[in-house]
Amino acid sequence: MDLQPIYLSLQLAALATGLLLLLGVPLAYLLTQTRSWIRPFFEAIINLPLVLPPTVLGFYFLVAFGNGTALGRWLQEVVGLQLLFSFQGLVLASVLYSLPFMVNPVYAALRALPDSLKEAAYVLGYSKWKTFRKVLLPNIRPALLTGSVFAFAHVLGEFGLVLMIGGNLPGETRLASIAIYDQVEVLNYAGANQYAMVLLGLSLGILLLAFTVNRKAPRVL
Amino acid sequence: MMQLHFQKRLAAAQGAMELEIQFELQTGQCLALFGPTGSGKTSILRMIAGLMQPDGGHLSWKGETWWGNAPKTNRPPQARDCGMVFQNYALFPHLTVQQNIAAGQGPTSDPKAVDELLQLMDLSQLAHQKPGQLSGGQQQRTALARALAQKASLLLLDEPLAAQDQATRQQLQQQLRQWLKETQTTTILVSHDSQEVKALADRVLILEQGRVTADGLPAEIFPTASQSHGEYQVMALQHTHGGWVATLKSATQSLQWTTAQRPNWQIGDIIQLNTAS
Repeated sequence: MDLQPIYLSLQLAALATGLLLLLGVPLAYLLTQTRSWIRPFFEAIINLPLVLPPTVLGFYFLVAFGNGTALGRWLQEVVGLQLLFSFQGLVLASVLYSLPFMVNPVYAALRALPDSLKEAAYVLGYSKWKTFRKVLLPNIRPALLTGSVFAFAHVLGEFGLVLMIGGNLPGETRLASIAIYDQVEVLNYAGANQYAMVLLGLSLGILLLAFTVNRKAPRVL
Repeated sequence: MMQLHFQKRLAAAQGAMELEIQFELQTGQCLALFGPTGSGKTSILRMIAGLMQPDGGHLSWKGETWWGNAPKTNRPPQARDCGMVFQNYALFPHLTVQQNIAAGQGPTSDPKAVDELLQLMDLSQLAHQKPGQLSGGQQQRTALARALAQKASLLLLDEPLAAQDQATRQQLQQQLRQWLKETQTTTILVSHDSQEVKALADRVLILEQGRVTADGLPAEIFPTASQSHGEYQVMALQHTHGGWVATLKSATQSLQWTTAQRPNWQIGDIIQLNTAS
């Protein structure tokens, strides 16, 4: 079995999860601070990937970053960033596609914290940033783990989106999920099974670890 | 000195209520706000701490305006030199008792002062426990220690000893009184317990439906009911859907008296009651 698609899938999932933590956690916090009348608009946008077929997102990604648009040409010619049929394109698409898996649990956990925690921190002289780092984040650790695990597992299992915008370039965009498809196409079921078993084992192991760790997490008062 | 004048429309169980309160408080004094649930006591503390905005009025502390309309001033809670004990304690669940108290000290950590507060609050044995492992009374003492650790010039206490048993409460009242006098900390105390008000406060304001109905020394407002038969003190008067409920306390017992009309009593009054009828 060629292990490169497995390594590439793990690399993509780890990078996308890291970026999702950096982007999704502040986004979830901002959402808790947003006025209630406009919040549903942002919630709907963030959660679109949950209901849209991946091909729709893939299609607009192709349209937005292809050579036919000013943005696509600018990224390629000025910034030197090729987003279609490249690993970096897969990272960006994975971040967008898995955003709700990180934002939703973190947002729910932040909203579940009593306001008095934040208020006590302010009265103790904590700035908003210090309150976020020292009070809010430590008390939503289970949600951070849940968000990270679901985002990681979701990226690991992507197929339609990555096939549309990444294609099937060995060593660049050929992920484990695409390798399974390749093996089935040439009727090599044993080869497909090897990749499938690795993905199944990885996903199950990650979920088990997350649920076990979260079971031991203390409850916020 | 504190100069306070707040106007605020508050949502209460019986509909909206207009809070209007005005008082001056000398530095080093302990002022108690006493009154039934929903009379606006906690809201006043929250407005002083900067956690809630008044609709109108003015607040200044030691000559500095903390909140005012002309010119528009609103100091954030972080810039108001005050400590607060919240009714629900608001301890940081991820920190131990010791770390929670140290969090009150700000960037300059003083482990010796934390140890002293642990001893004062009888928490030394629990220093490394987290709030989730403590009883309500222990959590409340931790919250009080954290507020004292702040060494703020103004201390806001919202029912700070309500979860303590009788013996612990009396002991803590004495220690807290001594601590407040030694440190000359100006304090505003919200309490439902006239005994606590008498033990801690230099002055008491009685609040009913957002208005001050009495202002005086605790001993004047709450004269001790004598042992004579049928003599009760009015501790609270509360308007409910069914009429008025008065909480009465004698030297030996407490009872609730329900009437359709508002009784012609004030909180603190000593009345004669023939309970046999």
